[in-house]
Amino acid sequence: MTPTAGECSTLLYTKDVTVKYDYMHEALHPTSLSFDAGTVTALIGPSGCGKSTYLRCLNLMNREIPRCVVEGEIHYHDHDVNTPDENLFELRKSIGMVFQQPTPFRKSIRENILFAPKRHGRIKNRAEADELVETSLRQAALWDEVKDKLNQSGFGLSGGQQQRLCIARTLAMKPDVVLFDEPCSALDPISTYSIEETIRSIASTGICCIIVTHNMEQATRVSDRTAFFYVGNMVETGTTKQIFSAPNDQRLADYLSGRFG
Amino acid sequence: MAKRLMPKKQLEGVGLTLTGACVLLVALVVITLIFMVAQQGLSAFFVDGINFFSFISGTSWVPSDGVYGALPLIVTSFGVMLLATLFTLPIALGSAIFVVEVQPGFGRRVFQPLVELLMGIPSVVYGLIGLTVVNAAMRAIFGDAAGTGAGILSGGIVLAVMILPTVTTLSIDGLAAVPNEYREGSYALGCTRWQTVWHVVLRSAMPSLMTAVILGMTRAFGEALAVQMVIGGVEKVMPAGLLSPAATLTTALTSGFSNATTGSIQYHALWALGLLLMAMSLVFILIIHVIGAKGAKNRD
Repeated sequence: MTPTAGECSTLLYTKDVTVKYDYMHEALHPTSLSFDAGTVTALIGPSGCGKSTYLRCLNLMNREIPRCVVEGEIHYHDHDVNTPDENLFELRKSIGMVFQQPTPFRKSIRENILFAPKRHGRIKNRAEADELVETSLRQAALWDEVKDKLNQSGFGLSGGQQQRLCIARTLAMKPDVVLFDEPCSALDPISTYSIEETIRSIASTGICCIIVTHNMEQATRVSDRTAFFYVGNMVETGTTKQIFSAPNDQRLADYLSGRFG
Repeated sequence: MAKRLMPKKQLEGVGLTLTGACVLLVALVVITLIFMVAQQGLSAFFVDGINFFSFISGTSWVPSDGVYGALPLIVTSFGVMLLATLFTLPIALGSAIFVVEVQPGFGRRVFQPLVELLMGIPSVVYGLIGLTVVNAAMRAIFGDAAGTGAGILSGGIVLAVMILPTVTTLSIDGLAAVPNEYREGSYALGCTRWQTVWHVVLRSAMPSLMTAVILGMTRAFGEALAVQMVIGGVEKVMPAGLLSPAATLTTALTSGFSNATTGSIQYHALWALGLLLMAMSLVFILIIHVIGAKGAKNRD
């Protein structure tokens, strides 16, 4: 199943997606991008440029915001999901999301992992549950640190561990797309490094990862492709290498050079 | 620039003295209050020689005959409190969920002010309404079994309405304080709104919800006037059932004091009831603190 480099299959693409807050304020102008299985795409740009807004379209999370309208086509497995009768809850089982702030639930580490699979009736017996907890935590590189305290509260973990717990929780649903909304901005450099490692290893299992980041070095470390957003427009997209070494758009070039002062 | 009345350092000294005096005054009031109730209440046991255990476990309360068994009062007090909580909790929680999770706009603009209005109604008005509406309803529903309609059930219902606003507003605050990230975290896993509310939001808000309920219970436990009006006030023996008229610790106090001469055994026995009431309220407050501390620990 795992696609090899070069023959990636497009899992998710958007066509002219726009987002309006309060019915009229257009925060994101028509944006078209596509994302392949097994790759990491970074969405970069200054604050308020629409990158998170765009990310939150992909699992229809913007529908949870009152008076927010998402227009355009969002194709997932060649099927437009941005329709009124799309089952959001089904969709989000296979498009996971990790947020800026780690948000473990007020439950044990084990129950944090099993929360969603249990709700969706995926756990048949204890052995299955144990296995899912272990594999998910291993995938998020957290197993070795928490295997002896699975029944302790998720609140007892460090910020970086909590974030990896949230990643593990997302992976437990066996998604094929995982969205990361600035997952490291609340973390220290070491935790950041380990999250980046985790993202790479998740992508290597064939999952499509999309990460919004402020940190351009992070984008170069972790992503295969990069898209640059500026005041609600997707300005330029390409391989990460090309974007950072030979930007075409002047705004992107200015933004990139900003980091050197 | 305004001219200073006195040097800055001296001004700070005055501030320190004034605020410190306020703190001292409050502490003094609390301590003397507890001391006085304890002194008067305990003299029933130490001066008048009432046996503490027969006071707690005796099943009849007939001060005129010198029989002081407070168990019926304790049982009735807990009975009406638990009934009130039982009636209030689902309604308060349900409306809090509606206000916070379903219709925040309507909730904040219309519902919450309405509920707060309920909080401002004096308890005697609740008593009047209870007397005319609840007791009449009891008679209509249960017929002769209800007697005059006064009884523990009526007390519980009136108290339920009285504590409803407290429990509801505190529950609303508790649910609203759950960070939105928790909800999104749950939605992002494909959970429905109901699953999110039930398993994530309520769970996270549990300490504040418990506090809301216990504060409501404390109020129900301590309320005297409205209960007095609807419960009958037959304070002699153990209540036979939910419909039987009875007396709580508070109603026995309010109705008993007019007949007690200062310094008599009866007078001290009533103070002992007060002490009992205070001790139990203290336990409730303690529980709230324990829950609060635990909640704070889990949040870190």
